[in-house]
Amino acid sequence: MLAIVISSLKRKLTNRSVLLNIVVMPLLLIVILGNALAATFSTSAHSSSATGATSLGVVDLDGSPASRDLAGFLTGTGAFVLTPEATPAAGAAALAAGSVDVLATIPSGYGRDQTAGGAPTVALSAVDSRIDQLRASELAVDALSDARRSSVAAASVTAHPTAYASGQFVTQRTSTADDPAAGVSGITYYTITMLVLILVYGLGNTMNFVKEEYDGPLGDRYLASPTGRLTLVTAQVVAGTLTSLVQASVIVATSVLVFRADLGDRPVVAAAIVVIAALLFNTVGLLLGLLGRTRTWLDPLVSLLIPVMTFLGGGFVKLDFGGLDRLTVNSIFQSAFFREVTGYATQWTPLLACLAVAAVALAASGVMIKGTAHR
Amino acid sequence: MSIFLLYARRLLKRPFVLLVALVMPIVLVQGVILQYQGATSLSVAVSVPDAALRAFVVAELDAQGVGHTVVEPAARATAPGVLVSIDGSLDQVAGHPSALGAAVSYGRTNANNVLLATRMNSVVSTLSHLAANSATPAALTAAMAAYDAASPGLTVTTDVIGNSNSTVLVSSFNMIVFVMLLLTMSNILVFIKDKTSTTSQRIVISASSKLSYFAQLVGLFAAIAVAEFAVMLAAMTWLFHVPLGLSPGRVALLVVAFVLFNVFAITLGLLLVSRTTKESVGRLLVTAVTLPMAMLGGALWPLTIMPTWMQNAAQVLPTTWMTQLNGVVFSGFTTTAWEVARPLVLLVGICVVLLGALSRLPAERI
Repeated sequence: MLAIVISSLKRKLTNRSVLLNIVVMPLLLIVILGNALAATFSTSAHSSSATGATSLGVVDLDGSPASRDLAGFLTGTGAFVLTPEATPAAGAAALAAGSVDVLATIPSGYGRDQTAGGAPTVALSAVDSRIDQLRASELAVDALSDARRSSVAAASVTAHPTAYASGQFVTQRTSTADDPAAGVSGITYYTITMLVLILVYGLGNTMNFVKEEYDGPLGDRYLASPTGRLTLVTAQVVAGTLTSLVQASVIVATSVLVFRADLGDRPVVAAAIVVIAALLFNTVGLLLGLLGRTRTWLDPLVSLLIPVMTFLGGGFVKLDFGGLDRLTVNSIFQSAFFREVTGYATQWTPLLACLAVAAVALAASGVMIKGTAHR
Repeated sequence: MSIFLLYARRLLKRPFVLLVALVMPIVLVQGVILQYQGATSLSVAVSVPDAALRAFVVAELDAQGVGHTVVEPAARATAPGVLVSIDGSLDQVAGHPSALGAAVSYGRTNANNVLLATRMNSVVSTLSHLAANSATPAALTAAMAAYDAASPGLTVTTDVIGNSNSTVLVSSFNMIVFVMLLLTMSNILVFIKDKTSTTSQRIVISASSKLSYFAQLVGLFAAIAVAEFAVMLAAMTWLFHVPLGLSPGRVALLVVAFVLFNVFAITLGLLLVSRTTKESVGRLLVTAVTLPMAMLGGALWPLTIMPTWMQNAAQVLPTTWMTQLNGVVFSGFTTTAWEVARPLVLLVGICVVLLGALSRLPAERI
């Protein structure tokens, strides 16, 4: 078996274009993605400042004490940073240019309506990409109504209601939300997703390698040797797994030493995740390679599925596809790494299930491997 | 025309082409829409064991069209986003607002969380005020009902300026830039095979001129670009029901831009073909060219989130010109003629340069 492993390793690791594609490309992508998307990983993403305050342009067409009170109230909430805009056109231009997040227009007659006991109107506007911030701003501005409504309600149950005063109930808690990737840096995120991607590519590489090795006379010669079938397929898995581990080591070493990626404090656990992934993908690649000898559609399907699964698993862009990401095998290993980095307890059940799948794929390959004469 | 038809048949026979041209755009656009809907919906986690107090908080959220999830006290630490927690009961807090045991908390500091927390702080303050003025639980219940019935002191209206589907449209059509580049660059593997088997050389020799050969190839990929655009248009209109909000003239302009972009992609691809005879190297080149161009050019995410040095470097990429054009066309704002014409002029320029370089290649390197 050792001879087969060494022979296979030599053939794989001496192919420069393969090495370039599966080692240099992920490193390049880590650098591009990690730098390009670094801003989306900062804790103050999608806000106007580090405090999360919304930049609010204010067009005050009323200029009354009441409209100034409104501006004072909005500033006092701490949720807005106000920027006066001279005219509605200037405000719209500021919105389009992105210099303000939301524009508030206080119409002429605002103070008069308020004095008359009515409900004066404030118009908020924003561009489409900030529609969520627009709605959240609407809620925050609406807080001004609470004092009046609460005073009316209090007066209905007591003859001497106390004055309304806004309390301070807001605190910031340490997030332990379900997303274990929350809080990791861009470089770390992409080190993990690209590491998983090259491990998944082990599937495609082993699949193609096995297809070539066991298709035609070369495969017949292997099978005619006194080596047992299970030994033959195990040797291919060992060679493929070792190749994946070499690639993973290069990615991890470069990312950690050069790009300062963080893969947690327990190298043994991180290594175990890599080994399990490498074993799974190489055994499944072996099985698909054997099947692919007669099913030519498998190759393009796998070639397409690998980047699609990476995309859906948030590998290229950190997107939330809801339940879709659970359909991707990438998410199993990405999640395990993210949990490790952010200090969550390791969930071994899905990883052990992957080992079981690998064992089944290996056994199935040993049973179904046949020469050309038997196919 | 024979070269056009020959390669049209060969390319359309590849299942990969149909998968990338039809399935991929639809999956990607669906992803964009799901992401947009998820990112723009507001929700608050509510952890209020007392039913009456919880009903008051939930009624306020419902009235504002904000979603909510009910969280058990034991699960507060894992609640995402903004969390409102009140531990006191109606009986305890009536006349004793300090018994509310209320808190509004959030994990990540971002604009939406801060704004939502501001509003929820006001809701809890209101409860505290009502509790302070209600001597009995019955009075507090009546005060909450009176609060719900009271007319608001302010009317807030909201309005989206520009194209109200701008984000989805720009993201989707930027994805199409990526899909088109990937599809065209992947197809150059066919030309590498033809080069190694000297098929291309024989076709070029038998063609009336080298120009005719390239014109037919470029024409084919221009037609593919038009078809791809038409698929996207149909999907947007009938599948996703997202109106483009463009005049016919603007649609025609976008078609021209996508045609020019695909012509750029195939001419660049054919130049890459001239550099190698190995399919494995070709695959490497496809990945090495396609992914960085798409990523740096803003096809996979907005350019504006990248560092300034990366945005400056990306200005030389045709993918950037296309994504900037998408941004301008779908913004819904008035734009200058130059903002629209600039990407087209640049695309024409790069196509002319690359076609010139192609025409100088000897037949055996095509």
